[in-house]
Amino acid sequence: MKPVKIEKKHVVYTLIVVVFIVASSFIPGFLSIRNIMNIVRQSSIIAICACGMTMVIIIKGIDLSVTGMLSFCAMINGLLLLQGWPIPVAMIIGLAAGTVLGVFNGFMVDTLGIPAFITTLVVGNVGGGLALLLNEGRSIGGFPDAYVFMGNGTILGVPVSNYIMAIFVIGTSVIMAKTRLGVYVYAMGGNETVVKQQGISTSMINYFVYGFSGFCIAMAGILLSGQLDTVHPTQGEPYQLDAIAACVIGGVSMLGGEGKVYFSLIGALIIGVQRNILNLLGIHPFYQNIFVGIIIIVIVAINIFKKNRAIELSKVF
Amino acid sequence: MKKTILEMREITKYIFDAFGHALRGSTVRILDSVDFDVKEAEVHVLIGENGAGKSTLMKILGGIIPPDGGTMKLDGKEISFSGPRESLHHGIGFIHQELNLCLNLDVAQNIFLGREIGKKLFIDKKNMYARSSEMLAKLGFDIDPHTLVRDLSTAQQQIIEIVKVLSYDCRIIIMDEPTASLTSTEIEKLFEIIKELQKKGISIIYISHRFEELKEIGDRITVLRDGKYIGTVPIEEFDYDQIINMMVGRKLGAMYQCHHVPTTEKVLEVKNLKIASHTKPIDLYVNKGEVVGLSGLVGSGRTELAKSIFGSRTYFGGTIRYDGQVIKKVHPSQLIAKGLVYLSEDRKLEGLVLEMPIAHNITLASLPRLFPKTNIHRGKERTVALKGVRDLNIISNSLDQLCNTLSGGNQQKVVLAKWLLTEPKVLILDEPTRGIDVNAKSEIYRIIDRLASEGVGILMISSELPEIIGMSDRVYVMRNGTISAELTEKEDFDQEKILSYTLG
Repeated sequence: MKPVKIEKKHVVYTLIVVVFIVASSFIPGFLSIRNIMNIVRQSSIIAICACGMTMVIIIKGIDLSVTGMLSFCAMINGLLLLQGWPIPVAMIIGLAAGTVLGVFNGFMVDTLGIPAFITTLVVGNVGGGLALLLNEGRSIGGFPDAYVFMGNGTILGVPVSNYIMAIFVIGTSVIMAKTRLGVYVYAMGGNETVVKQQGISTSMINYFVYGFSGFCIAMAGILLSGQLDTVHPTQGEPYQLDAIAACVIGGVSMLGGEGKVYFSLIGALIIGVQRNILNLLGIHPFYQNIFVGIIIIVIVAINIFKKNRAIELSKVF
Repeated sequence: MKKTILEMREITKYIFDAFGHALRGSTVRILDSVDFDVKEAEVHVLIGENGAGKSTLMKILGGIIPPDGGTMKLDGKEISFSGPRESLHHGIGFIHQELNLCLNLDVAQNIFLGREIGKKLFIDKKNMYARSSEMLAKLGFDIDPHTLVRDLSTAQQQIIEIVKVLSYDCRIIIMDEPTASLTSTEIEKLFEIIKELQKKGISIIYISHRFEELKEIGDRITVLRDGKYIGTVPIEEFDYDQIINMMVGRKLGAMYQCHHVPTTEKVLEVKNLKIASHTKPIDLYVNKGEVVGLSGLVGSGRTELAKSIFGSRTYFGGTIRYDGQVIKKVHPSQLIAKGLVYLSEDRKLEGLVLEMPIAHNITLASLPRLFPKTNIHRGKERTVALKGVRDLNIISNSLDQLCNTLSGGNQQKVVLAKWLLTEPKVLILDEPTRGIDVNAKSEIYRIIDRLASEGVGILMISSELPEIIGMSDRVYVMRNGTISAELTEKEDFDQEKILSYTLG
């Protein structure tokens, strides 16, 4: 007897449709162009983090440094801007900081063999501490107009944030689909022994994947500071869970080897929609985290249950 | 006369760790001066019982582990490998029983992993998929290279491995039990490929347990036994009895002492148990004070049967009676409390907490019984553990010695001590003497005999026929997930007979 096969993408599609139908029939103002653009703009931060996170989870890792690193990179960038540095230079330094911390994560995971969750959690915490230290715990704001335009402006009616998000999502999926590196990332998630036997350096893959994740987090942090015109040392906090949730809802398997970036984007949008709906309904934001948390647990549990069952059923004597 | 292309002379390998390094101070030889050669375009079959050294020999040839002695010559030139890649570049491809593929990638990505076609970073997909189709077509297969390997049948996955190996221009291909999980039509297909490869001048080293196959495709048969080279026979001189003789011809020593007398009172009874949805049901019973041997190849479902009884695995119908009661959907802890225990096959993975001292390991399974009021009295724990250590003659520095610093035999005795402390009525032993030295073996046999005399029913799973024959009062043989024979009379216990039921 063959069990009914439910593909992940079907689940994702159904979820979107259901959420949209329910939301648009019950909540006035949900389906307006303005509201939807707003959802996408807010989701862009999650989606950019999810680009790197998708890769990390595919190689069976996890990146828990989002919270701290996001604030830290934004803080560096913001402080440089306020001291009058040109916007591109400040941004490059901010992005470089994220990438370096990410590569450091990769080094700890690969070369020292420290479990990813410890390494990234610690690096994230250190980053968060530095963000507090850099400006003695205070927020900064009042950035140049051109910088705020990146966060809040529109080009041809579409928020600039959305263009940046699109570049990241498309760029990541090109890497994953068209390049050797992408194949190796999937291969490493599928069967690390084979990768090593083929003489491919797993260190290179680890460094790249964690470095890229750091880069994405930095970009998300910078974009968020543009959107809010503020950097607060703890503003990265909600994005940790959201980034992981986006991947999981988008069908990235926590067991590694599976996942597509554009599905993670859809996952990010679903979270955005859900937060928007709960906001429009006037439900306190605290409930939202509980909601996202439950969704992650349920999806991961189903995933692992299915996998274990498949292993047991495939035994031959 | 065909030309000899590969010669292995006097290959020796001591018992080794996970990295292939010889264990310090060890004198146990897994391979003892083994000779092996391969001629051009032949299928050379390698047979022997589990643990005879076939896999170890092939791992040395495949560059996975280094030999501790002996020489290898390819085309008359001496060679040595620092890793599997180097072996591959010398034209030796290894197709493992556990296929080495990335199931989540597609066919072409697997074939070209690490050698993708294309400039710099980007992959030339068109070219790569076209090449893959071409290579598959050459072997007569119409598999879309875009298919995910996960969605292929095992036979098709094997073909992908063969294509991958061939793309390295291999002249010698090692196949480790390639037919183990194939259906009969798939096997025929595989044989066609092998014959095709032979025509192209490629030699195959073929490891298998199935005699009917060997006659069909083999050119020569080499038999290994207990790490020693026994002989090579051309296929024309194939004689079933002679080959079995070569495989088992061992003398039973005085290692096995049987003083216990089995009763006729059933303590464990299994009826119509199916370990998988497609296997035939199993009937089995164990009497008090009886040692029942369970023979069969690795992978024939012995461990699954034991775990089904022990409640640590779901099974597909059937009833299990223990001590007069039907047991159903129970947790192992309940069975341990009732006196049914299972000593696992892999002591390092499932038997011991390696980083914990001996004392804690011994009392681990009996804590609820010894200390029902939750807090552990360390003094009492030590007294109890010390008794176990003395009873089983566990050689150690102190009760605080960590288990990962003990020898294999002493580790096994610690596991045994742990289970004996639970005062079992039925003891299921899964390969109780695997990888331990002769002295420890005979000690464990003595313990088994003593337990049986005390009335414990013992079900002993083993791959070693002498052990099964020497210790058992009754023997079950397992094949393909079910019991293929039951031998009740001691006179019937004979290596040839059991082996023939095992191999079918």
